[in-house]
Amino acid sequence: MNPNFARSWFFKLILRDEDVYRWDVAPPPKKHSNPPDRPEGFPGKVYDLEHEHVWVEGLDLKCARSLEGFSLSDHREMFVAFCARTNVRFEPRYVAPQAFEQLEL
Amino acid sequence: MTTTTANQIEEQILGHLQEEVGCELLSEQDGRIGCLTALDYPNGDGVVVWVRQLDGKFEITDYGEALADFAAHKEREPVVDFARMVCRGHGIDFISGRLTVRCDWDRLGEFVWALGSAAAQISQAAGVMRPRRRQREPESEFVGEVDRTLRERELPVWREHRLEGRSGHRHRATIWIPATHSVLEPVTGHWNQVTATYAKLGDLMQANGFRLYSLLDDRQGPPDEDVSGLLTQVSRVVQWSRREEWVESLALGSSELPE
Repeated sequence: MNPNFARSWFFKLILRDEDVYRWDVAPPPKKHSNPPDRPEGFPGKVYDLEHEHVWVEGLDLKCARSLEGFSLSDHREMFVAFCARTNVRFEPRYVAPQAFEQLEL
Repeated sequence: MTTTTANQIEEQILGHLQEEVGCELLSEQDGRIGCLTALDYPNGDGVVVWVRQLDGKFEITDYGEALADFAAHKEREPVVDFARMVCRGHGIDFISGRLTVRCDWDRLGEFVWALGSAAAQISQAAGVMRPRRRQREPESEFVGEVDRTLRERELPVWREHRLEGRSGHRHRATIWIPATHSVLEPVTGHWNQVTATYAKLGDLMQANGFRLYSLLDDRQGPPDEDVSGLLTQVSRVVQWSRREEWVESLALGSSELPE
């Protein structure tokens, strides 16, 4: 995310061109202000370095809340946990293109 | 307004700033200090600027955060021009996407605030100037019904499948039946949709091998003859109320369809 810091990443789930879920890991100090019309369960401000952004209708991904238990996690561990949280199975897969999808040589 | 009231307001503002502003050493080994300002980026994240001592001076920078979302954007030039202008106004430099300045100790507070303000302004402008991601129309209720019906009949259906037309443009086939290379375009009758379907099918028609169908929604009454007449030029036109007659042909790829 930002190469100037050892822990500065985000992991994002996109569904049909829409960002629907994101995990942020940021260097200290960190503050995220949630919008005034946020739903219940989201604090006014989030100071945790690891937090999740949840899609809320009309607010997109502006609402965040803290993620517990990741303060020592490295990038791979965060990624694996993110995939588990979002039910994403990460594995390289090969799908043969159909005839009309192949590049013309 | 009395002097007392003015003082109270000042105290409130200073109290707020005191609550919002905070500085933290990144790590014992690093030496950089992150300064959380009372300013926010448009996404709600607080603006943080970084300070480190360098050759007797203090270097302050945002490490490119203000334009982070724009770093690889192909249409970033107007935003970069705007960023340069804002930085000049604050007496700070804009170098390789970063806001940066070097200053003496006695002006440190002033420049931390100036750089934070510039970062927030630039990020705000970038958000406005960034071309919005194209929002796709919500799926029509008719398309959903067609999709469900075909699947109930165990017809293998792909949605929004990309197909290249004669022009080279890659269209999205609303419903694609791979077994018979058939494209089914549900049409509800709005002229915008009708003309878009006409253009799409017209381009696909000239690319070999596709069976093209326009499916007219006649649940609320007979379809407009003009719609039917237009789409007949680029596809076979079928009606939803008569689906028993054409669904099987669609599955088998038969060229014969009832009129």
